[in-house]
Amino acid sequence: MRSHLAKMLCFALGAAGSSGAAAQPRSEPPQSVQEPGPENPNDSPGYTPDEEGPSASGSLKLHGYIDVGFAKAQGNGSSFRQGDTRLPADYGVDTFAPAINSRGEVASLDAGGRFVNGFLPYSMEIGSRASFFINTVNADIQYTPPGAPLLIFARTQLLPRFANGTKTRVVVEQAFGRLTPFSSQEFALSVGKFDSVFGIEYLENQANLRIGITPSLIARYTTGQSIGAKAFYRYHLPSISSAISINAAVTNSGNWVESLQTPDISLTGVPNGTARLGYELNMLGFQVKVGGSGMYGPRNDQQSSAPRQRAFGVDGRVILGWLSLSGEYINLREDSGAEPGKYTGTGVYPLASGFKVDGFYNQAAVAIPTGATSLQTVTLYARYDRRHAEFEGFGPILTSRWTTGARLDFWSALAVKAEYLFNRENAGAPTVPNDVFTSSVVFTW
Amino acid sequence: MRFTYLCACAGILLLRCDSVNPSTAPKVWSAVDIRDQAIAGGTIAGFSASDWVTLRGNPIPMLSPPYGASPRLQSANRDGLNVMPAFSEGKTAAYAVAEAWQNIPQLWIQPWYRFVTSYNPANPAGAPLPNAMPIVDIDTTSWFYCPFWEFIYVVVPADTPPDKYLSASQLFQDNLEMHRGGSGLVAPLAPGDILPAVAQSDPSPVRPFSNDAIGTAPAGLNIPIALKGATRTSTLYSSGLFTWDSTGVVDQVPLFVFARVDASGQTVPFGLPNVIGTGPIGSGRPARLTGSGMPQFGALSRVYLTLLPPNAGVFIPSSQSSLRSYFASLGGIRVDPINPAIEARTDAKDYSGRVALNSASCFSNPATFPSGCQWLDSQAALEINLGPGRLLQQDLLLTSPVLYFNGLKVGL
Repeated sequence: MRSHLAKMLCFALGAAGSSGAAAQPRSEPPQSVQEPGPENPNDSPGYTPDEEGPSASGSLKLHGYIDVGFAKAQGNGSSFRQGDTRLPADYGVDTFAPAINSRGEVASLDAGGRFVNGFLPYSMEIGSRASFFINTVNADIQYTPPGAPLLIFARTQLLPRFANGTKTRVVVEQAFGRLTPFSSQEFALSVGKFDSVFGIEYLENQANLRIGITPSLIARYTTGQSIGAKAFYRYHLPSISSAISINAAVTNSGNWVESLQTPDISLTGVPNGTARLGYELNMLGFQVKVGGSGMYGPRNDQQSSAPRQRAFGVDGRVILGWLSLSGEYINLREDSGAEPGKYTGTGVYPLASGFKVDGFYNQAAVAIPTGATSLQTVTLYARYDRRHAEFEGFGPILTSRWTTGARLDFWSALAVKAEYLFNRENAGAPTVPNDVFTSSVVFTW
Repeated sequence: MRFTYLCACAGILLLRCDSVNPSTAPKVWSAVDIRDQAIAGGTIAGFSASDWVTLRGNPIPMLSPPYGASPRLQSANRDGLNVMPAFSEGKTAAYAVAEAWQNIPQLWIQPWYRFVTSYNPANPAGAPLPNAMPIVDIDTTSWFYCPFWEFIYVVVPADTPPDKYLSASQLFQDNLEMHRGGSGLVAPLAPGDILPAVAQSDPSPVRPFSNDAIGTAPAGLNIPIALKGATRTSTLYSSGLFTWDSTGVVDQVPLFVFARVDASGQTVPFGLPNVIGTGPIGSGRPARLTGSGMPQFGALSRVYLTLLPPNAGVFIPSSQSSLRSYFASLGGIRVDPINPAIEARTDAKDYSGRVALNSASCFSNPATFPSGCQWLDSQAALEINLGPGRLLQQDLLLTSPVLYFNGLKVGL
């Protein structure tokens, strides 16, 4: 019971617990009992060096999930207000607010034909109509070569979309190889496309991992995968039940989500550097994890490396019994573009304005184990997000959101989630009906 | 150790970062910026800022030697946007450069909120809220700033204090009723002491070369507006004299600036009257005019440096001997003699500064002047006679309100 509870709480935080293999969340599919979770080698205790050394026979494992959604949004499904003729239309509102799934895709991006300048998420384009949809069909392949301290991992996702919204795509969300050269040290080097190392919300990127459904209002800046190299090292301090970790990466695009900066190639020829320094205290039934992150490099929506982007953030997690608390803050600045043209995942736009943002979220979750074999856990959660953003020369906008919902976990293979997003335009942005009800059924194998 | 090495490599790569190249970086040059450049003796995209702005008390370039007999000084209490002589559709014209947009491909119209106490689509401005300032929401610090505004009528109760609303966000906060007006203003944000240039000796701005008066003293063009809670000044040039498309992109036209290649190989403007186009290059779009003949084009223009063939010559009467000598000394353009009978025509001033492809023959023959001249005084004439190889598009847009066209004083 206790062990199960610990699993659930760690899961609720989006990171593994402190009890090694026992704390491997069921939702981190590429892992085996003794294998690290290759997508999350941050300060997650899920990373556990293979005590037996490299496997003599090697292994090939297949995992995955299917995320089916149902949602209904207010208004026209977007944050654009009819009658607001300021341009670009996406500079004076938060286009990411009416999210409907774990990818951060929104119900609509219908700006009424007005000009937008590429600060956009992807869209399911259901508008205000209630609709079912397939969020993600995810397939993971993990291979461990025989006799080598190496892990190879690929995560491929099919995203079926209606033609008037974002196009149907097949996305290689992660593809990397990871070398763990020292059996005596918790140290790993990865090369390829991997998760962000900034903050903690990226740990919940996948629908089966995330407690709730939708990402926070600051997730667009911290949770993007990118291509490059990274190194992770953790030093244990067993005398004080603690550990210190550092996770550092050089990548094409930093931590932005793909709709805002492409991770696929470096447009500037110069990488972004990102790092997180973490501390964790692991005690029985009580854990504290805190970290500080930084990012610096050229903005990868420009072809000149002169315009820089810089960010810092702090994060914290506390697990106490059934209760888990987490929070994250980010402050980010982008220089103005040095040339015309802004190249994002959603297209090419005329100009890359200077930009600054700061924001945070706080989340509380209670994961209640039932002891049953079918419905194993009931999780209730609430999150508060706040975002203050300003494009150069435009007025700042302040938006916030309350998200509350519930998650039911069955047989370690099925998660049923439902939540409501109360989006608020606190200042600068026009008030608009853009609250969202969304739900998700995730089948994991 | 490996990690340290990795970080070192990353650091070296980061050190390779480019620096911003001013020639390719997008930049909005507001009226204040242009004035500052003129004070500093600087240039904007290769153009001397002082070609566009004359600082108070200084000689107005195109009214002073070699263009005029003696220096004519700008008004002592304000700086002047030089009145630039031009031709368009074969007619005399004039404009001023109020702002410049370097490496910014196009402009998008922005809202200009006007308060009314009731809304009547047939007369939308018929019930204004007394003493209330209009509101705009974007400053010149943004690349999306645009001096081309669309009227948005905001309906408020009649007893609304005129200073209750000073920012657009307040309008949305209170969910006020709004109506699009369908027409707009050319009104750059500029301090009240930068207006079309007026010589101290003149009552109003004049068009160089022809000396046509193009308006009254322009001080009344300034109006106060509210921008994010602060009061600013806008210079009101015209209403309804520009167009935009369904996505809000303001229509731009080419501005053909006659230029030559100097000894250093640089392409530099001649300092002649330019030619204002009427539509995109190659579009063949006819001039859009209001019912009263006012041009609905030209207020937003893209610069095309225009190279002349060797046979092209400029019409400069013999009375302006210094100017004839000046252009002759520059080279790259003919300064042919003009038959006295032609110079004696009452409309000769309207040809001053105009360029003809066959100047040698047409300036000498009163019988065929002016119809026998191949004038380069319209977009169509330039496109047909010069071809695209001599029309060099620049990454430079100008807020260039037309002040004078075909004998009409344009604007407010």
